Amino acid sequence: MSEEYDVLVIGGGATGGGAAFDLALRGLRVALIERHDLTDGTSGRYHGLLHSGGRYAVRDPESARECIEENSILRRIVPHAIEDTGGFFISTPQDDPEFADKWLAACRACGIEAEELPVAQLLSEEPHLNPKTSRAFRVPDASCDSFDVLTALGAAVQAHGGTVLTYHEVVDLHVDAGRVTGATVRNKRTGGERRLAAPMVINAAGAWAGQIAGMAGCPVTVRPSKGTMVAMAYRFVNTIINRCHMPGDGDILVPVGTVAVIGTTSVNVADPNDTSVEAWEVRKMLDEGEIMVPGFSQARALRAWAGVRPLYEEGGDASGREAKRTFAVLDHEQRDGVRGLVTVVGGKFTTYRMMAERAADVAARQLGVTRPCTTKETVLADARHPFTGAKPHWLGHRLDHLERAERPGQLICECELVTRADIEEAVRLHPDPVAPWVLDDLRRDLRLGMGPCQGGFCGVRAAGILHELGEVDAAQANAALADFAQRRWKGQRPLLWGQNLRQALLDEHIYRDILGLDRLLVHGGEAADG
Amino acid sequence: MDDVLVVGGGPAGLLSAWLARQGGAKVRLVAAGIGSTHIMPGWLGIANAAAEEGAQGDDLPAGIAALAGEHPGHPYAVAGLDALRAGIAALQEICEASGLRYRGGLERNMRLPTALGAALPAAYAPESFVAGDLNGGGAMLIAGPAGWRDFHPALIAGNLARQGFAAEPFAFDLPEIHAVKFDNLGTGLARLFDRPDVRERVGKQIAAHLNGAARVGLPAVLGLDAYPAAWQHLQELIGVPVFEIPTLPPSVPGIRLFNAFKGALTRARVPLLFNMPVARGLVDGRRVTGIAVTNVVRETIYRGQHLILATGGLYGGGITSDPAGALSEVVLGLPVHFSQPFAAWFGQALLGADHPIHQAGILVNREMQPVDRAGGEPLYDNVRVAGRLVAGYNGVSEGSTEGAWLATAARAVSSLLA
Repeated sequence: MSEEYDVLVIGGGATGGGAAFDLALRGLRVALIERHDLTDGTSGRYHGLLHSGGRYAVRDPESARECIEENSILRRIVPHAIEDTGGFFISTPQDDPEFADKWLAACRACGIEAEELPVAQLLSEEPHLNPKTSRAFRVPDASCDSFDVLTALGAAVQAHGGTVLTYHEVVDLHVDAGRVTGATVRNKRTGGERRLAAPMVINAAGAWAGQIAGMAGCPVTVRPSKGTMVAMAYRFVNTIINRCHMPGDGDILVPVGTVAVIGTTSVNVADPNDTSVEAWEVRKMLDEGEIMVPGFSQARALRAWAGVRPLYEEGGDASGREAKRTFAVLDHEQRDGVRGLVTVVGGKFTTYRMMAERAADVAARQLGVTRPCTTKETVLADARHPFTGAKPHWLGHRLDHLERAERPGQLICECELVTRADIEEAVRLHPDPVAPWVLDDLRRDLRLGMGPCQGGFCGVRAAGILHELGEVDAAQANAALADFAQRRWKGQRPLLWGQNLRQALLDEHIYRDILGLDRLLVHGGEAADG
Repeated sequence: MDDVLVVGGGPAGLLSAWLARQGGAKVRLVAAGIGSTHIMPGWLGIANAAAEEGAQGDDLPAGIAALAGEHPGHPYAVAGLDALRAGIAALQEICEASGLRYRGGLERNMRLPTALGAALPAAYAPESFVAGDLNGGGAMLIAGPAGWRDFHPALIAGNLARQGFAAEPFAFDLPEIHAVKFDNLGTGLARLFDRPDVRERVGKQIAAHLNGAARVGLPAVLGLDAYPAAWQHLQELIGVPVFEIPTLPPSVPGIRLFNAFKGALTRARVPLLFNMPVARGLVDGRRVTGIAVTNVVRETIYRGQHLILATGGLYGGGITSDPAGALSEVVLGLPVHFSQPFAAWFGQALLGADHPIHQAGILVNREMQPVDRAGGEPLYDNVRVAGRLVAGYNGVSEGSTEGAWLATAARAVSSLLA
């Protein structure tokens, strides 16, 4: 027996979430399918910059125009996920000040407001920046939390009658006489497979789009480009800082909540699952950070991670920094003679809504649906923190909420001020009832474990609470804790010196000397069956 | 001028200071801060037994002999097992005076339940832990305050049961923990259990829910100032043996140990100077003549005949590390013995891997004097090194964390006084 939908959207990143929401608003029955949790892929592994487009103005004006257009739309429709930090482009001593004139003209041509300000004023606003900066420009960059955007999109899809299938992997696309008729998905928890029937499939699998399209016999060559970022334990700046030069490595610094994220590298990788962080990449980020903020590399580096950009150019073969950041919508009926399949690939987080709209337009046309896209006008509600105001990213909001609450409940994660009630609520709201044993999902929902201790204290508490709630049995709780610890470790390991090294030794002490978690894994065999 | 300056406020420094004072020396202890007492579980891990599965095959002496015999640079080999025994005896004596009684021996390990329900080996433990030994004993009731973040009775009992140990959970009411708005630390609970009325209330609830349990496990918060009377009182109220299970830091059993040390050293008139990071040592040839502590207005110099460095290695801050992979000993700039490149300091897996970085430390001779290579001359004649700062072991994977500081502190002092 198979379930029937109008559209299957494959990929729970921003583009897929956006496309599913777009089509749900047009009255279609959609299923959003994601092999892990929402934002587990590239959307959840970016630096958090909502581009003004300034970065691309010189080399890639089409992307720049898309960015500025969507920047102003997203500020309207996902206000709760955006902190209006503003942005600066600065000419450091390493950057050619002449480039700034060329850049300024390019911004104007793309419709990006860029205003030069005296360096003295820049330094009074951001005193940690390099005092030898020669020129500075203000642009409408912002900081944007992709976890919050996807949580809101997932909730909105469900509110409009759609289905969100996280931890479901597409194992086959059904093609019958040149038409896609559905997909077989496998539940990653149970291993059980189900058939989903639909006359339309949108492939929004990002860096993995080639694999999905290949299941229908359509060749799509995505060029995965890995970018590494480092979160520093200090918010050096309150404004996004870009180097005013041709885009390069480690030239963006984004204030996100209590930390500042520097990014990125650009490394062509063969496997889109390759999110390894190499030592040279970390070194590069610290060195480049030093150019923007003297003393940068002496501060505590908290965590490193990598995301894989799904670069794509129809008919082109550019990769890395040379490749455009524009996107492509491939109608496989026209392109490959396979009806009912649309691939949307390339682009930026900032342009996710536009990408979703274009893909949804093609799908709607094929399905004979005439209702137009309304995502530009539809504000996404903040499902999780209705109490927060205009700047929900500010830790002070959570603190304020806690201090005002009569009985806020105990703090489970002291670094990020997550309470037991927050965890219980996140478990209740989780889109997939079988998945909460993945503690990393709670991290994406609540920022659990994202502070200096990287889960050393809150992990076991959260596992205990999930167990008390009946969400997991003891063996699953152990496996979930070990999985969480290992995922945090992956991001800590490249940065283990100084205080971070001491923290890692404390975390190991907690897991092994105090809790004996490693012994439980050996004993119960979770490692094998988890 | 003191006879012995001890740098470090962790267990190795505290034990060294007491032993040196017992030997008749005039001693002063200077420390950057509280050491690892406040994060330790409270039991004494000496070695993983050679065969750990059940009482039959348990062979702790073989485990110790393997560490001492197979690794010539291991603290047990360097300090010697007599020093280990001397350290344990001294610790028991110090603690006894505060009513903190350590039980056990070097013949076999107890297997004590953790706050996750795993079984960890320990040669010695406070008497309030001993009834939890999983080598014997009957069915357990695991009881904790309902809703406390650091102790989840159902998960602990569930994991114990999965390993074949009969255990049932029970969450009792302790409304006071909800009156604390934010941080419900173990220390706060311990102060509640210092109160007889709290114990009466809790004891009554547990006694009514025993359901045939032969023993009751509770978080290790059964009294701070009132320990061990609080634990004994609760045991009487419940009517079956009660054992404590250590929880996340700050560790109440570790603080009891610290308080026992502090009491013993204070009675012995050893000045304890905490929050005093030592900036550098004063050196004259192969002798260290004193230490300098920088405070807000000046540098204070303390002079001593001997120096015991127990600054805790990478863990305690006695060794610092930087992104270029440099390791530096902070007081005397002693060479740090470790040859692995930065990329190999830690394994890819957090759990299960033996991270090589644990081996990093100061190489010492049998007198616990720092040397730059095995068999080399002492770098300073009047300096001894103790505790986590000593190179050549991994307390986590060996189960030797406490044994190493017990042995090295005892040997450092016996060598110095000889």
